[in-house]
Amino acid sequence: MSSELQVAIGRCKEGDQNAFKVIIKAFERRILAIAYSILGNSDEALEVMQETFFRVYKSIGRIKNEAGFSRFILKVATNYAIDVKRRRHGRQVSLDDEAVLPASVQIRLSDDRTKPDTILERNELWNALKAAVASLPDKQRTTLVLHDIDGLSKAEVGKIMDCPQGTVRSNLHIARKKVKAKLEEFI
Amino acid sequence: MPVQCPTPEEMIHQFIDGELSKTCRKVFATMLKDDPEIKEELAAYTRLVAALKAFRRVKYPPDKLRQARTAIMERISTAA
Repeated sequence: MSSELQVAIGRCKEGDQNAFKVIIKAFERRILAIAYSILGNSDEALEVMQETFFRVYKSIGRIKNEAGFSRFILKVATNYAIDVKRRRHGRQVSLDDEAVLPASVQIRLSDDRTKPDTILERNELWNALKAAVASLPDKQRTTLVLHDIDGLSKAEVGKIMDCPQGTVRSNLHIARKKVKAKLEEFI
Repeated sequence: MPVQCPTPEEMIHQFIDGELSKTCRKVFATMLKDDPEIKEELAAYTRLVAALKAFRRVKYPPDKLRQARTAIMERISTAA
């Protein structure tokens, strides 16, 4: 954890609300990426971001282990995103929304360099990738999101999900296999 | 003693995650040389894991992001 972040946490505990902006800046992108990967919808991802930071602020005085702060904030975000998804009760939410993947971001699953990499093809692949991740059961999806998208280690994912590393490993491998199978036509 | 390595599929994941033991890495390297299907599988999984990183690059409408940040600060100031 950066010293700037440690200072900000300390100042927040002393009641300095402006210091919370440092915490928002440090975690905003990661929370949005986790929430968006789980939900596939930007409005809901922004809701998760708001609620996560509000809950973290309310609990900040009780945080004793500042080294575990990142884990705590990511756990709140992950659990709330899963709650939002469950609250849909089967209601369909569009995966095509206002959040966009910048044109500079290359995504390619095929090694066939002769295939034209058109915008249409890229968007089709991006939507298929979102749908494939969204179709996974909660535990597999969360494991994939925290490990492969956020980049946490298996030990950290295990602590967030309250499960052994062996379970993280097996959920991750199953999740990757399922996503790959769903994207077979692009490979 | 014979080398105990996981299944080829398991080795693909462990290789991608940098968790394959030194001994099994040697076994895996031979497999990659001898079996084009395993080589193809490894390439496909590697590209998939790389493609998933795209979720980190999603851009949100700046006005909505600003609104969300403002809403957080308003909520915490009301809660204080």
